[in-house]
Amino acid sequence: MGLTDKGLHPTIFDDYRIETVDAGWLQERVKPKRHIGLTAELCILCRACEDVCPWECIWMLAPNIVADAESDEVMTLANTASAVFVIDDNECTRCAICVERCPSDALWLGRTSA
Amino acid sequence: MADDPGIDQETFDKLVAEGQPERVARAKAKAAAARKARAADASAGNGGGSTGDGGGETPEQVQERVFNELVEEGQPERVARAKAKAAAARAKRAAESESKPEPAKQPAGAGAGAGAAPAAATTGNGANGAGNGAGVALTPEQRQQRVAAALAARTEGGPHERTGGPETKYAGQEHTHRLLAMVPPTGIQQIRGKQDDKAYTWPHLLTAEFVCLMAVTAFLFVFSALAPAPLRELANPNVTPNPSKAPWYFLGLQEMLRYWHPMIAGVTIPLIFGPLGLIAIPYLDRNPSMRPERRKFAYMLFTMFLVASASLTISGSFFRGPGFNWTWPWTDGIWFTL
Ligand code: SF4
Ligand code: SF4
Repeated sequence: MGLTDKGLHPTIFDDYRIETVDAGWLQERVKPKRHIGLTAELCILCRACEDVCPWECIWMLAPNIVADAESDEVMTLANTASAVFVIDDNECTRCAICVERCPSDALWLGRTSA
Repeated sequence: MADDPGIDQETFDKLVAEGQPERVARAKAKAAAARKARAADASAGNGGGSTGDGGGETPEQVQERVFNELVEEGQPERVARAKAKAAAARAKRAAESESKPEPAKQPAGAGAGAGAAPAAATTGNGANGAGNGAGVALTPEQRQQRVAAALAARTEGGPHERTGGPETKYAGQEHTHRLLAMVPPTGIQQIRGKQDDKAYTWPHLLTAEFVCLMAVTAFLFVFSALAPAPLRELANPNVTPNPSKAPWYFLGLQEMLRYWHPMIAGVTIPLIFGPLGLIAIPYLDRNPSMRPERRKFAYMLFTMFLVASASLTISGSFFRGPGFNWTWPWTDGIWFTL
């Protein structure tokens, strides 16, 4: 079904290191003011978002992809999570196709408050 | 994106043939076209000889050249200027990345390396994506191996060891991935047993009611402080007031007494429109709909009742003077008391 199931993958890090950043960082780093967000509690791991994204910039990854987090809490969460979603904010055009596609309304497009 | 890359028709046709919705196909085709354009741009910026003189140009020269080219092509000046600026920025980035040490050791930029400097970092895998056909077709097994290798390297070297070595700590920052969410196991097991359209009395209704209560109380306080309500002179049975009017809520009835026999005006009509009418409503109007536009009969009935009683009350209040005879308030004054 998904690109992932066909073995199509972008070249991505195999060892994500998690750094905590704030909204200011995000605003400085990537231009649009609105960002894609994901409410983890609603996600049903259907990978539909990954599949529709025209830029292939939103990805559902195995939790063990996270190599190292600054905070233990985050690391624990990563170890117990069912999946880890990452998004390439530089690539993402905020077309919101993924938001529209998400069957459980887990994804949203919104502002980050600085 | 600085410039509109248009649509990659081939990809579009392919995706539509695969049964993708047109909107998605269009977006993906656009992405593919942009990717192609960027790959071309980048190779030009890296000194690839598409223009022949790209190699030694400074960003300023690039800007000027692109601007001139675009103007010659008949593009509006504004567009040309923007595009030239973008091209210069790309050239600058490309030049910077060329001077960086060992770009080949970057683990990877995700996706098709954007703009400048994709040459070293993503060779081998090239631009990914179903879009332009040059996809990174890693089989699931290869993928597994890749991840396994990375994980093995990690366990060997302790938690802080990275596959690319310490110098790659910020490599690939061209594409920092933002962690969107980590889905906890409970996230996918949740059961929504509650009805979504249910609202509880507290706090939804009671807060509103409390606010109304407070507002009405405040209004009454203010109103009673501002509007005087004096008692009138002592009642004298020998001098009755003229006109003698009922309280305002009975003035409609009193008004009707001017037109009809007391039996009709005082008993029959109130009885029909009062108790009997109220009892009859559910039998007259059996429409269960809650929408105003479907309750024309009910609304019509109530409007007629309201207009009739309002006009009777108003004329009783303001247009009846001494002897309950007709007067004009602007000539004879108002004979209305509360
Ligand atoms: S908004 Fe568009 S580009 Fe961004 S992740 Fe969603 S589908 Fe991809
Ligand atoms: S489409 Fe929505 S529910 Fe499905 S994986 Fe993406 S975020 Fe989760």
